[in-house]
Amino acid sequence: MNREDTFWDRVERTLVGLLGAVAMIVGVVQVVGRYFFPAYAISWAEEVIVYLVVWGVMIISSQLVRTDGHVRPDLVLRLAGPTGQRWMESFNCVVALVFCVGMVWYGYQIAETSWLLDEHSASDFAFPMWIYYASLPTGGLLMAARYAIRLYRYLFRFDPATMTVGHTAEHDLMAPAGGDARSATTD
Amino acid sequence: MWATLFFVMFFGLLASGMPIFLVLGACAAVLYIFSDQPLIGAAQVVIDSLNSSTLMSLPLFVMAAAFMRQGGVAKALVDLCTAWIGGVRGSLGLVTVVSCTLFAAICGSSVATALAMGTILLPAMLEKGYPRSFALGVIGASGTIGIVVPPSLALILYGIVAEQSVPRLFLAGILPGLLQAAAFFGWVWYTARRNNFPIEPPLPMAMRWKVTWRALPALAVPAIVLFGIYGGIVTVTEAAAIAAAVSMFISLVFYRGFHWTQSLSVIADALKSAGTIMLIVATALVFGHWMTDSGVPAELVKWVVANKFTTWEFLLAINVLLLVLGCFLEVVATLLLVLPVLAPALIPLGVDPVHFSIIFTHNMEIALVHPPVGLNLYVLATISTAPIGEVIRGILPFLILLLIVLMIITYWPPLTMWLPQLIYGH
Repeated sequence: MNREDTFWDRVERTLVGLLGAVAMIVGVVQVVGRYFFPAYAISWAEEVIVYLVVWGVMIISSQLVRTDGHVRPDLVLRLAGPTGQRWMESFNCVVALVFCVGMVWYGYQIAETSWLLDEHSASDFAFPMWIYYASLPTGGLLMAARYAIRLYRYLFRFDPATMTVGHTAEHDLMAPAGGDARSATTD
Repeated sequence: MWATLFFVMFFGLLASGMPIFLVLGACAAVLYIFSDQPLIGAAQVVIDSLNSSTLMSLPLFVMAAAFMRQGGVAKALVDLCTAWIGGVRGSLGLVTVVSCTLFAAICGSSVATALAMGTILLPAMLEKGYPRSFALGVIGASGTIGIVVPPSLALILYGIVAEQSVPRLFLAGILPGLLQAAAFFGWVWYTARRNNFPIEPPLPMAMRWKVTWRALPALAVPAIVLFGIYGGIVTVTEAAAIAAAVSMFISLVFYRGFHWTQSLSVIADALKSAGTIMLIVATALVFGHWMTDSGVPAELVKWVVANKFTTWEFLLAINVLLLVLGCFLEVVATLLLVLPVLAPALIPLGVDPVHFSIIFTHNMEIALVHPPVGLNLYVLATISTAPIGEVIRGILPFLILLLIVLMIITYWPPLTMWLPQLIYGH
């Protein structure tokens, strides 16, 4: 499962990089404006940072599925052996797909209701909230696509050498070998 | 009955290797269904819980840490400490403790600290003839300081879940973090003398100042964050945005650890790291929401009061519980699972939530270095290719020190409370 980045991966990563960069810049602009250019100061930076970062996280959640980067304990998986791992992973993918479908369905309802109500944030920025809420079904959809691919691989293209716990080639996080795919910068 | 259903399902799904955000989300969904609450409410809690400006400081601090790690800041800090601590027996071990404490003040993550310092200091210590298990132990244990010294990602999460002021929590972590560093420093100093570890030749004074000058930009980051927050100049989230921007600037301009064209990639990686936590936060808060409505925390308080538990007995029991949970769960999961139950019970039981935040975080530090899932153990085993048993052997004396410090933090509240009370009052 050690694959090169596809066009889809590159688009996701670039988009998330841009969203994060803009979030960082908006935060700095607010502070600089407040103290050095009061005439141009903004007061809605933190609100915008929330929208940008949450969209970024929802988009990158797809990459987390692809690279097995979601935090999970794998002690029992390690004891299970390749066949056991294959079926446990398939079961996990099915549960994940159901969860993601729920995210898409209920997220869509929340965004649609907000759009119909013409809901805006309470700040001066008055941001249309349906755009923020739409991040939830989008994240669900992207993750569902990745989980569907993952399920297909475990069911029909299973390779014990590269798809069992202990194989780290696909991890682009600096996580312990084969251990929990936890991030090096968050714990 | 609901609690039993939750725990059976939670640990069953966890054992199957399911991602924690999914386990919490699935359990919360089932609890919502069984208690006749509409699932759209759970989805609304997910998206609303992410709409928190305090929570946004977390990905921005992770971004700062990613820039620092890629930018070669760790090397500048190690050089600084070596310049000033050289000439003492076992100086590389002492340098490890001090460098980790400084790096912790920049990045807020234990694993990142152990990783950044381990890749530089482990080969250096092995080359000088330090026993490998000792070198691994001192790096792994010193790395844990990252989680308690501000800016701490765990304390940001604690502040969100327990509804406490994050700057106050940051202040509370400073003295316990320094106590821990001092305990490690003392132990390394003692071990170095007993085992006759090598002495690094001291640098000439002119060279020391040159090295210090080179490290100044890196030290500017914690200074900006702390003066910004406690000077009332910026909010925590703004401080995090500035820390990220300054880290990127100094990494590109002063240390040149990566090319500017890689900046977007570093940011994407940082958001990916932060995303793992934020998705867990979102689903855990759905569970927390259900938990508060279910009245379990109130039942806990009633039970503790009815059984006449004193505060110190309660804290001892919680420490044991957290140490046991730390054997199976990682930091964020433990925090988000346990805190919604405990947080409403703290004040009725006479425990200050700020004091408790450091007890909690220190327990999580211990969880990072004790088997079977202590993440720092695996990080070190990976970068050193040493067997995990050797890492554990090296870390054991530090684990004992961590437990002693935990007892001091738990039963001597002024260590934690003095600084926040001095700055913010009672």
